[in-house]
Amino acid sequence: MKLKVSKDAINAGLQKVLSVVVARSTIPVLSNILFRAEDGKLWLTATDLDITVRVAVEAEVARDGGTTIPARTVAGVLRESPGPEVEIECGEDAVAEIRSGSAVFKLRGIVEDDFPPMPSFEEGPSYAVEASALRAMLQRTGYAASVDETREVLNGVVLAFRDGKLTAVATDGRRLALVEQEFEFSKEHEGEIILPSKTVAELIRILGDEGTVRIARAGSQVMFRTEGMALTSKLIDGTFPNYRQVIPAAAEMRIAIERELLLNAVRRVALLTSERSNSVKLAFGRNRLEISAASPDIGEASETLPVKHAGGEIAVSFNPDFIVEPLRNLVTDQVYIELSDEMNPGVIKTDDPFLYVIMPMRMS
Amino acid sequence: MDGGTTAGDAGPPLRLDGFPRAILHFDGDAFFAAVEQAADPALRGRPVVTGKERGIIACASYEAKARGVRRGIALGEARRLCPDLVVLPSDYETYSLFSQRMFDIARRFTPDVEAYSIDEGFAELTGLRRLYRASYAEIARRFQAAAEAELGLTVSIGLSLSKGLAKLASDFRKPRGFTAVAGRHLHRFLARCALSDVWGFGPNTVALLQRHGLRTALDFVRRPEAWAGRLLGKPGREIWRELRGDAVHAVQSGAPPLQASLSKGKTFAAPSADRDFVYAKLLRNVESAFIKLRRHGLRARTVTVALRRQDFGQASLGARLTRATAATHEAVPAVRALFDALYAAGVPYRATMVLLEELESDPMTQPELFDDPVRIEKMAEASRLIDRVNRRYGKHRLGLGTGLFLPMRRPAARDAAPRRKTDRLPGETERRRVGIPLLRLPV
Repeated sequence: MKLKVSKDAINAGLQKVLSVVVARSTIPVLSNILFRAEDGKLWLTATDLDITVRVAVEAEVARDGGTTIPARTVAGVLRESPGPEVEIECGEDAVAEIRSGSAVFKLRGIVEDDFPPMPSFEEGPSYAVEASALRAMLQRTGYAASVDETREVLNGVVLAFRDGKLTAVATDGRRLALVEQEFEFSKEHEGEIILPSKTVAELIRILGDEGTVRIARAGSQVMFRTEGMALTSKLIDGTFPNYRQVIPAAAEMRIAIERELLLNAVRRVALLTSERSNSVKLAFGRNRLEISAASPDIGEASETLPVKHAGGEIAVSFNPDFIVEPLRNLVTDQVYIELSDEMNPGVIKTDDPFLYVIMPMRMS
Repeated sequence: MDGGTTAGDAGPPLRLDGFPRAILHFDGDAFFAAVEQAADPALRGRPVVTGKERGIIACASYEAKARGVRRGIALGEARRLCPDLVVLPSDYETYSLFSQRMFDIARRFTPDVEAYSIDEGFAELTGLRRLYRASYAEIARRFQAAAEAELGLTVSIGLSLSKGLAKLASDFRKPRGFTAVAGRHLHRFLARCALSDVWGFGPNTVALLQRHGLRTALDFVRRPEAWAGRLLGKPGREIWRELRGDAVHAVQSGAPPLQASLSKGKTFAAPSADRDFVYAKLLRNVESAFIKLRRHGLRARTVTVALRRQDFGQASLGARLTRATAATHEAVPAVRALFDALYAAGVPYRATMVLLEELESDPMTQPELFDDPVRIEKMAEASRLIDRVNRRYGKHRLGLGTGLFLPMRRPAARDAAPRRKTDRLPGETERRRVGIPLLRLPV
């Protein structure tokens, strides 16, 4: 392998694969990044055996070939390279020589053959989605996934291709985020996949604003492919609960409120919640919303916001994180809160196809 | 060592008041042995010890103590010291009944009674003088006399301005002691108390204080508070203030506050390889743990189960519930799964344990979107009902059906079943008990 590459380009490529690398693994090669030169490109690949990310970097390739290099070391070397360009050369011995300006590094790696191969994909159902749209869907749902390892099926985002729509859903059992879009695909390709949260986070990081991403499924694996990038991931095996059943059909009242106003107020009031008393109360009255919290051992807080609300009074308690997280991940100026009573789930909506169901807290 | 004070030379008083606060500490004298003597007059005046089932003295009556028999020594040694020793198996059922009655008597005087252990407690008497038209000391004496008359055993009383002082006072004279220490007499009392008598001072602390030239509790409180704080930290500062008559610790009349976890474990009378029996024992522990959990108004998120084999090897496994719960029934499926994963057929087990962690006390709960609220409410209601029935008829009278696999217990090893277990009252079975002690009174 022998090639020349711009420092900025290779560092940008490296950033996309670094977070997949396993810092301390019992399999040493997983702490390495695979450098492969072919087709006039340098391909960088990292894997933790669940997720594999492969990105292309434009390069002048003099000789095809490949090797693996310890990720942390090579990331440091490339970041600190003195020149605008970097030359990488490697023979059979898996020792990569990196030159930049007058600096020379020799990095001992592990031969390419030890690196786990990218899963091969038989053509299964595949879909083409706008990269920016997919990223937005994942961003608006991913935070709602469960982090409780004992509920594996909830540890990710469902992508459902059904009824001419693509639906992304995540829930931890207490709140649920859903984004839905019209989407064209052939009827026999209906189905759904559960992406693990780590995969979702990688996709949000890697997917750009332009181009299409092809999603292909093969058994328990999925591949996301764009120009110059491929991510394969294991899927979560299992049946996602029927999320349609928990979406309230109708609500007693619907209140429009400025997103940032609500977000900041809830964040402030939530400062006075504690592990032992983790709830904020939203009390709606005529044209006003009072947000309050009290912890016996800390103190109490309240803040009143003006809202357009002519209807009756209602007070509902929520885990503040469950309100802050969707608001932080949305971009619209205005959100709508729909409530029926203090026991039944509340809903946050926007003018986009976004829906968020949140279970109130209750006195036991 | 000099620099310390003596009783005759206590110096100026620490304070000039009487009882700005009146806290009573009561301590059943040689409680287990005294209960045995109270239940069987034939034992009165004889050297009695309990702990036969373990082969180690759990409690020695004052008659036995006089012959050199102490708690913690081996039975054989005790018999050598005192050949006519009466050795009895521990009968916790009866001790517990007497204990409850002792606290009930205290509660007749004041609602603020803290059951500190099975045989000792605190009672807050502050403000009761007018109600009883009597001094605090007189009220304390009435309690002492009532306990003695109604239970047939003696208690030692300490009365002072704080829990620390009251406990020190009740230890001052024993048995049947009565020590009331008013604020203006504190200095004279503390001058007669060794450092090692102070509640909260262990051997290391005492040794440290002695290196600083201190001998008595008075020497300690004569030092500045900041000095105590520097040397012993916050606990030392609190002891200093308690000994000076400033009550830092309140009498905790409710259930004592709980920590981050709660566990229940019991060793079988005899090892068993019977799957149903071991599982039933485990579930009994789970029931006990959840009863305690509910009594403290808590919910648990994590359940860990441990099985101990006869060879003392142990296997344990934990699970996290989808939500914190106080309902026994909600935890049972998880416990079942853990047990199935742990249990090895044909291996004799000697104990089961359950540990509840991630305890929550927040009165607000977070219900689940996908849960069936009716089912959850039913399980909560079942637990409430079980508690109510058992409060009335006794612990585990109403419980999970697996309890039926707990067989009629064979007599314990060493022929050590207490009489209360072998001589039943009419209508009693091994499992169905009448909540009264069995007395051997001559008629």
